Parts: sequence; structure tokens; C-alpha cells
Amino acid sequence: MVIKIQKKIGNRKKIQYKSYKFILTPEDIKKADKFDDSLMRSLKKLEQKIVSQKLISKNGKKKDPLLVWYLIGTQINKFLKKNKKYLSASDEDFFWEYLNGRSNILQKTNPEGKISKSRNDFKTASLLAKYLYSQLEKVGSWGLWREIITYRPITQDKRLLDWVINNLIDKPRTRDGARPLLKNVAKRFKRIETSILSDGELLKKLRDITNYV
Amino acid sequence: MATYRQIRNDLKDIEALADGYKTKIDHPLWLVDGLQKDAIQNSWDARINKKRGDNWEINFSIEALINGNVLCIHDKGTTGLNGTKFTSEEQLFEILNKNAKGEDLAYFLNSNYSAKTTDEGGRRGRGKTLFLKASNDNKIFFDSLRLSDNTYIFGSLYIEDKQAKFDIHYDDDAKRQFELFGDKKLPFLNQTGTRIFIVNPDQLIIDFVLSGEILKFIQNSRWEIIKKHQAKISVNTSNGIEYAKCPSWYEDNLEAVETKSYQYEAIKENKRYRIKKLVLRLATEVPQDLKGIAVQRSGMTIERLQTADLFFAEGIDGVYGWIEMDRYPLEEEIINCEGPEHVDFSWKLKPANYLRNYIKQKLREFAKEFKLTNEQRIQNKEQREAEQGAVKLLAPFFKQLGLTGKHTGAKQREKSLRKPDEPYRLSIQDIEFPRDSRRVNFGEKITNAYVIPVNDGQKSIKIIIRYYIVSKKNGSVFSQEKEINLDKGSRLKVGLESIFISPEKFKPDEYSIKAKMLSFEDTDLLLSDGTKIEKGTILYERINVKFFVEIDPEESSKSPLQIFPEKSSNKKFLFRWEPEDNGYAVFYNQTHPLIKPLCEDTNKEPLKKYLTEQGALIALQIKLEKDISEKDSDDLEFKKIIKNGNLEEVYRLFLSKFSEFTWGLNS
Repeated sequence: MVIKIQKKIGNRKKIQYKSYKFILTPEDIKKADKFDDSLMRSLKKLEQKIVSQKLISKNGKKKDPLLVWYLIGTQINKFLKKNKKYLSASDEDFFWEYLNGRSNILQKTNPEGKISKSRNDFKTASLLAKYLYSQLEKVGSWGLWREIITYRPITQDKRLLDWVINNLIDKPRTRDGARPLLKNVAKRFKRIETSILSDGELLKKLRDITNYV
Repeated sequence: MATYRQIRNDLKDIEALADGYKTKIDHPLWLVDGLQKDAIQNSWDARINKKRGDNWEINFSIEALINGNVLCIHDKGTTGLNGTKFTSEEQLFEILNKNAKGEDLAYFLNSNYSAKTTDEGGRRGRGKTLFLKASNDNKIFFDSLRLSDNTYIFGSLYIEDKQAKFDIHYDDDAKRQFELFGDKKLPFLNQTGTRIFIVNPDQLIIDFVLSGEILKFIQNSRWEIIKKHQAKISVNTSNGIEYAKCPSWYEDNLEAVETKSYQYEAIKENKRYRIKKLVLRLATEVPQDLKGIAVQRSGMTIERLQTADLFFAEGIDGVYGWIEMDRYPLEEEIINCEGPEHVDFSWKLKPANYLRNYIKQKLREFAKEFKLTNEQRIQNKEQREAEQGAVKLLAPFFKQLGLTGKHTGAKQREKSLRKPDEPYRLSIQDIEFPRDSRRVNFGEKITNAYVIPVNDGQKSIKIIIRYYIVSKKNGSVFSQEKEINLDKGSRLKVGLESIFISPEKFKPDEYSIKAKMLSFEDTDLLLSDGTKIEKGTILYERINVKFFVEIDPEESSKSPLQIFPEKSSNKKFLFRWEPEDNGYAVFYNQTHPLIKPLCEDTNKEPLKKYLTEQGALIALQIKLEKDISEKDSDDLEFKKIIKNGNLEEVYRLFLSKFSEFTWGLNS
């Protein structure tokens, strides 16, 4: 699959067709355009929903960013479920990159440089949409969630992410307040492959951290 | 003895000249196309504001006069037909022989005379002859209001008794004659400029003007001045006045089009020829008449080089663009390679051939960047493997001779530092692929694909090894996990002894064999960075060996050499080479009787051997050329030859270096 990517450079729009494929044929480009059309329709539908529910102020600011991003994530997951067959594992990175800068309503300021995977808001939204909104709300703001997702070791094992969520529900913290805890969890598991640890072993290591934070 | 002036059959000359246009323009509407091109070129060259062409405009219209239709080509913002108001043939003869500038009137009325500079379009004085051809009566009228002295002139140019003749009138006499010609319907000129009236024009021309279809030709050749200077070129069609526009394909910031532009680059090493701009674009459906790279000169498209003729690749047809040249010396000199009809270049002449090679080189880079793969390579994968095999053998030789980099002299290379061995690590050193490129075809196998865990630490350690094969498109295709008590000095094997590549298990794609070593116990041991080894600690994860099923790996951009096949009937072409960004591209003629059988042979080893050997000689030749141009060499033997100019030593030196190289290869 080839992904059509639009970038904004100054006032100019730049279109690229990206793929890990060795040969890029006009046929691939047609397919990419078709995929793009379908996703754009999906995003437009979402834009309409957000505007009609007055979740965005006149100056384009999200009134409740966590809710808006949750809706975005839900819509993307729905789209991906339907179109997963077109998207290979290697194309996924391009897909997240692709979403950047596509909608001024969903994303008021378009990132100009290259955004790392862990800082891609759409990918974060997709991940969050797998949880209940009420649970997310209890943890904290969209800003705090962005902070949590930035730490790769935390997102690599669902058990770790769940533990962080529960910890923050028990002891609610601001983004700045949560940073020492998140940093310590990430540092502790940076060189550890948690998948070979049992739940008990993992919890034991996590308890060590909470003793210090 | 009396001397006679040769009597020429001007009518035949016009036909011959028209034939030239017909052959070169090569489409049924050649007359319309050629006429607009020459008319606009002459007018643009006569613009008052040379820099931007402010206030310049030209209009094409069909005027119905009492004696029939005329095609009127009217320009404004031009100088008019300046020059001496001659009154006799002797005076005219004198003016033409002086070849002086500013004698536009005399040059306009006579064939094969022009005093234009190189930055102007038509220098050969042939354009006006085409006006006569466009008239069924072989007759044109003209009037002009001159910038130099505000004189009004009117006249006609025609064929009578097979001879080209003209009348010329000045001032009030001109006005009287004009009124007679124009049935008092046509207005007098009120600003400087010239009008050409082609009497009883070819019906095709009338149709194309009235329908506005002539605009397509104008836009295709004049888009640059329309885009840059907003040049006003209009046509009075049946629907009113229509202006020529820049075709959207040449606009900036196009959507859905990949663009790459290069500015002020030298087109040839050690030469002063530079381009102003080269723009290459990749689009899906480029209109037929805009396909190719438009070679621009003086704001006009001279020729469109078809990309498919320059480089074989799937999708190359979708690449189009344009090239503008720096005026001095490239544009100034390339005009000598341009055909008299301004529709083509003789690409074999210098500097046109430098320019063509430059475009080819950039096109190849562009195709590589945008993954337009060479069709021939797909068809002849064995041949491609032979080329790559030769490249691999030759690359160290090219590097040894210093033939790498941007051709700007010796470069200090940064030494890469290998990470010191970890005490606990994995090794995959025994792995063997069917070929060096790591391409593996169906039915072939990769052997010794296992990893060996190594313990250089103090104690035995309980570990887990995760071994897996990942497809770039589809993720993991195989995985294995093994728990081991790793003693010091042990040589266990984990993973696959051999991987058989079958279409059932593998799809054409890039794959990686990966492996990780994890601690499976809590210990008191420490890693080199001070990390305590505990259960789950990643001890080693640097195993990542790629292979390619039924596809070629992408070429390393760092190779100092690339080898490409070409097809040519030129008997003198066996090999040729061009500098590239990172080294050199060597082309071999696969239709040459010496190479053809090697390409056709199913065993491609002889081809690889031949390319390697010839490549080595080419490397020596490139080295010698490079050192001669630099008047110095880092090689003592080359230095000696360059210093003493002992040409008889060249072959001896080549032979000894070649012998050393092939000795190394075969031992």
C-alpha cells in the first residue's frame, strides 16, 4: 500500500506518495488516492460531528481536548478496522504521519517538522480510544495523557499502562506532578523485556518505584 | 569578362525552407505551430523592455478585407522596424553587407539576414519566409511605427516570377498606401510596433485562429514568458479575445505532483557551463504534448526531450519538467547546436551533449528517489546480479583510486567506531546466502541461519533467546524462543539451520532475521554501563540480518560505482561513464557484438567477469583524466606521467595496475 501524505511548508502544500515498496507505479498512486478519499470522507464526517456538538470554539480551540481526541481516536479505530486489509505493518508509520496536517479543525496547528511516533497525537488518540472515556477522564487532562504516552516503555506493555492509569486515578496528579512517577517507570523498564515477567514479578518491580515516588 | 549575379528561384527556396519546418515539427499542423513560434519570437526579440517585457503584447486576428481574408499579427511595446530609410537597391546592399545592428527594416525584407544577438531567438532571418509560405498568394503586407524616429512605414513582400520582391513606403505615402490596402477599415497604428498581414492565409490557419486552437501551440512553447513576465499573447477567436495562459502543469506548487528542482548547477565537471534551473516532476497523467523535459532558451521551449528516451524505467513516462540555462556561456554556446527552425538541438555537439548527459544523470537520480525502477532490471534480474557482482568487486578499487564523493578533491573520511563486544552477545557469522546481494529466489535456501550465544562474562547465566524472522510488509513470519543456561565458552546454536524459500511461506519482500538475548534470572552481575542484570534485562539485541525474497535490494547510495546497460547501434560505444553525486555511473552497450552474447548467456559469470575487468580499466582512465585536470596526483606513478607528459607510459602503467587488481581478484 502506498500512502498519500500532504505536508504544509510555509503556505505551500506538498504531496508525497510514501511506501516501503520498491516500485511505485501509477496504479499504486491511484490506490493511494482512493484510500485518501475514503479517509478524508471519514475525517470530514468527524469534523461535522465536532462542530455540530460545539466542541470547538470560534477560534478553533478545542473546548474539551480529551473528549475531542477521544472521538478522533474512536473514528480512526473504526476506519482502521474497516480498512486494515489495505494497510501493511510497514505502512502504519506512514499512516500516522499522513494524518498530521490533514484537518485544520481536528488539529489547529500543523506540526511542521517530523513528529516521532510516540508524539503523534492521532496515534495517541487511537490508543486512548481503546479505554473507557470515564476512565481516561479520571486520570486527567489530554496534556497529561500526551505526557504518559510519550514514554515508550510504558506503552509497550499494557500491564504497565494499566498500572500507571490506576495509580493516577488513586492519586490524581497534574502533568508536571505526574512526571517524576512516569520518568521513574520508564527508566526502570528501559532495558527490560517485560513480556517474560509474570504479573507478580512485574508488580514487585513497580512497587520498588512507588516506594521512591 | 562580365560578372553576373546568380538568379535564384526564391519560390523553391521557400518550399525547401518550409520542408525543413515540416520535417522538424513533425505533426500535421506544423505550419500553424511554426508560424506562431517564429512570429512571437521575432516580436519578443523586438520588445522595448528587454528585462521583463513590460507593455509588450502580440495579437493574432483574421481580418476580412475586400480582397479576402488576411491574418494580422500585431505587436505592441516593440521597437518597430527601425533602421535606415533606404531608397535604392545600392543603399540596401551596403546596409546588409555591413551586418550592422539596428537595421531591422533591411533585415526583415531580405532573406537569411539577421543581426540578432545570441540571447535573442531567431538569428537566421528565416521566420519571415514562413509568413510567405503561410499565404496562398505568397504575399504579405506590413506596417510599422518606429521607436527610433516615429516614422510610419508600410510595404509588402511577395513572390513574382519566382523572385522575392518588396515595396516600401514611408510617412504620408505609407499612410495613403495603407488606406488603399485596408479599405479604410483598419486603424492606423497609434503606438510603436509592427503588424504583419498574411494575405489569403492557409485555411488551416484561419480555422485555428478563429477556434482559438492556436493558443495551445502558443502556450506550449511560450509558457515561460507567460509565467514569469505575464506576457500578453492574445487571439481574436469567434468567441472574442482569448489570452494564452501558462499550462497548469508548469505552475509552481502543484498538488499531487512530486517536484524536485536543481539550481545553478554545473553540467560538466571542470567546465563553466551551468544551468539556471532544472525542474523534474512526477505526475500520473501528463498531457501528450507536454511530456518530456522542455529545454528552454530565451523564454521559449525549443525541444521536449522524452524521458523514456533518456532512461528506461517503469513510470518514467510520468516524469516531465523543464530546464533553463545560464546565459553565459551555456546558452550563448548552445545556440550553435540549435536547428534553424528552433525546434531541436544537435545533441551530439558540445555543449548540447553535456546538457543531455546532465539531464540523464538527474533523471536517473530522480527515478531512484521516487522508486521508478528500471524495467530492464526487472526483465533481466540475472544480468542485474552480474552488474552488482562487478560493482562489488570494483568498488574497493574505485575507492583505492580516490574515485568517490562529489568530485571536489580528496575528502577526509570519518572513521566509524565499532562498538566493543558485549560480554553476553549473539553471533550470526556463519550465515550464507545464495548470492552476495542477499537476494534469494524461490527454490533457494539460506544456510547456517542460526545464532550462537556467547558468554564472555564471569559466570554462567540463565538466558532466553528470541529468534524471529520479520517481513517488512507483514510483520513476524517465524519465531522461536529458547531457554538456556549459558556457560562460558559454550557454542550452542539457536534458530534455523537453513531457511528454504518457498512461495507458500514467503512473499516477495524484504525480510530480517532478528534475535534478542534476555536474562532469565535475577543476578548480581552488571553490564558495562552499570545496569544490574535481572530477569528481563535485554543483554543483546543487535542481530538484524536482511535478505530479499524475489526482489533486488535497493542500491546503496554510498557505492562509488553503478553499472547500467544501454542499447545503442553506435559502433564506437562499448562503454561510457559519467560522474555521479557519489562516484561514477558506467554504461555498457548490450547490443555490442562483444557484450550481446554475454548478456544472452544463461550463465552470467562471464558477463560479471567482463564488466569487472573493463570496469577496472575504466577506473584507471577516469583516474588519469581526473589527475590531469587537477595537474597532480596522489599516486606516484600517475604523478610521474602527468609531470613528464610521457604518454607512452600510460598503457604500461594501466597494465601493471590492472594486473595487480586482477591478481588480487583471482587469488
